[in-house]
Amino acid sequence: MLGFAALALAAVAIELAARRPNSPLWTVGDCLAYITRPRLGRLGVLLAWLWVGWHFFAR
Amino acid sequence: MATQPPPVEVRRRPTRAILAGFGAAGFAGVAGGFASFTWQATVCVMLGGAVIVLLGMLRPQRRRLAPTPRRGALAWAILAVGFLGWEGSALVTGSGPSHPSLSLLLDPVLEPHAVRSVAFLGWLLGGWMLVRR
Repeated sequence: MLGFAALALAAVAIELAARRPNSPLWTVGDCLAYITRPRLGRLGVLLAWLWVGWHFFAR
Repeated sequence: MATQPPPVEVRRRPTRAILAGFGAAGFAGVAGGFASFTWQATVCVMLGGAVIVLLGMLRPQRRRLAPTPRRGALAWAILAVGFLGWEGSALVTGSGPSHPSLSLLLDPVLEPHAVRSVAFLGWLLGGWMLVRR
């Protein structure tokens, strides 16, 4: 459980650091914009989202 | 000089968005009542997922450019590898109390109908936010 908590905290820290002015880091939105630019990337992200739903609500 | 009619104020009506929101909430309320490993739960996930995926592929994408250089994504890549490694090692070692997987941790949390419905609605909303990009 501590592992997931540490990962979640790291994600929040990266996002906050990325939102600072002139930050070289990408935000989550920037990453998604890059990945979903090609159609295949868009489909991949949506299928990953679908898998998350299936994993937690149906499996 | 002919007088021109006053400009018509075009206002966006949020009716469709409100209806969609109520529809999603109602659907999530029903879907949250089904336990895991039931065909009803699978159908609900597939139905909701199909709608979002279709919308995502058919809707014109907003052309938002990703910034450069790409090394700005390195921190996220490392985090993603870390998450996959942690979750993967939990599954490989049998997902016990000493090293539980994420699903093992969330199963008791998602058991009550109300919590499950809210989480389902949150999942649908996450999908919608991906589609709106």
